[in-house]
Amino acid sequence: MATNPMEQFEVKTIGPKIILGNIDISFTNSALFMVIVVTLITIFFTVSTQKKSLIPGKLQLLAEMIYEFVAKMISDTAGQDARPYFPFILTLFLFVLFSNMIGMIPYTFTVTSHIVVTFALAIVIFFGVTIIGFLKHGIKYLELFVPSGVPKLLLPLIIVIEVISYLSRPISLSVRLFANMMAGHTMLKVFGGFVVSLGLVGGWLPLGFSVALTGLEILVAFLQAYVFAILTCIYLNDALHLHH
Amino acid sequence: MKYLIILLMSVSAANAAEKAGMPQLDAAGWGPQIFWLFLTFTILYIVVWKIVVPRLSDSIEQRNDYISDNLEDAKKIANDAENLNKSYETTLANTRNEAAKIIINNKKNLNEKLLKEKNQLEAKLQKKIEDIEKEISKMKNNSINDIKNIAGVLSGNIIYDVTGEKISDDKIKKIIDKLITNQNLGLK
Repeated sequence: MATNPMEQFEVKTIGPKIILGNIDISFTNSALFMVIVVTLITIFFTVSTQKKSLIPGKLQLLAEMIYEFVAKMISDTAGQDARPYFPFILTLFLFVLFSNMIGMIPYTFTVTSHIVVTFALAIVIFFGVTIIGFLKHGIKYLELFVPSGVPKLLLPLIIVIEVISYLSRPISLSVRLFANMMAGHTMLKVFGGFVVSLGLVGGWLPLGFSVALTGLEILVAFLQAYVFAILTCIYLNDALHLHH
Repeated sequence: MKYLIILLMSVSAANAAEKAGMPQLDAAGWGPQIFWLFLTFTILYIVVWKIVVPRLSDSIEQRNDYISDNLEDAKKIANDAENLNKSYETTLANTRNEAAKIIINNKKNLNEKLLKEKNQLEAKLQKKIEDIEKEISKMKNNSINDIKNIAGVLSGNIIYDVTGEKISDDKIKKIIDKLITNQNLGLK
């Protein structure tokens, strides 16, 4: 029985080591779960949308609910102009949601509990949104850092704060998800360890905590996927509609 | 900002603890993760973009179309029903008006007819009454003359029987006329 709560996050190579150029692209347990996530999403949506019936079955209804949930999220936060980015936001939401949820199954690997994964997603979003902003507004996109109605005296300070907050977006976005996932899983592991070490006599209390935490973590898994997607929508809204 | 601090803190913590710390900060695992993330995420994006979104938007739009079509049909039918109801009400009102007119006309006609017949009847009755009255007065006159004559003859005979004197009829008649007038017997 492993006692180190961080052991679950170790990335282990499965099969041979593959090096492309200078970069190691070996298939790992993380990659395995990414493949599982993508496969599950693909199977779920292809099966559930196969019939396209007028009166949806349970699976089709679930698929449509997810679709409409994300569609509503985008139109509420970023408006109709964000319509072309809908497939990307939906992909993002599904990938994060399924990664988080599958990670809740014991002995699995949580893809999103690695900062490098969440940061890679966040930095792509950051650059994507920035490019969209500059393409749409040109150099005027820099006005984003100049909020309206601020006294001229305060402006230098405000601009610095705004630039820093803009640049820290990918960090806050990625760390929020990664930290939540890692903390939750570590905590579950710690309480699980207590159950084992205290045994039949005192193990019931941490077991109860574990059960409660599992429920909480499932909620967090959904919530963090939602937050990740909605923040992307908000950043997209800033890039599409330049107003403060 | 606070996330940055957390990150920096965790980086330094990881450096201090080397391998024993967070596996997330082991740079050896970053390459494969980033590579596989981009690969799988791109595949998922293509699946979502080319299959999931078109299929779902299709079926949702189809359903919305179906619902809006049905709603339109229902609206149309409701309108038709309302129109039909209106025309029914109009017809009913017209028929009622006509019926009322007919009733009024009939009443009028009947009243006129009744009045006419009544007048005719009254005229007829009036005439009959007048005729009868005439006859009565005629009969009255006749009977007075008869009475006078009878009284004259009787008086002449009585006087003759009693006195043996014959008195002319004219004289008797005058006396009777005078008596009748004096005694006011109402036989005039």
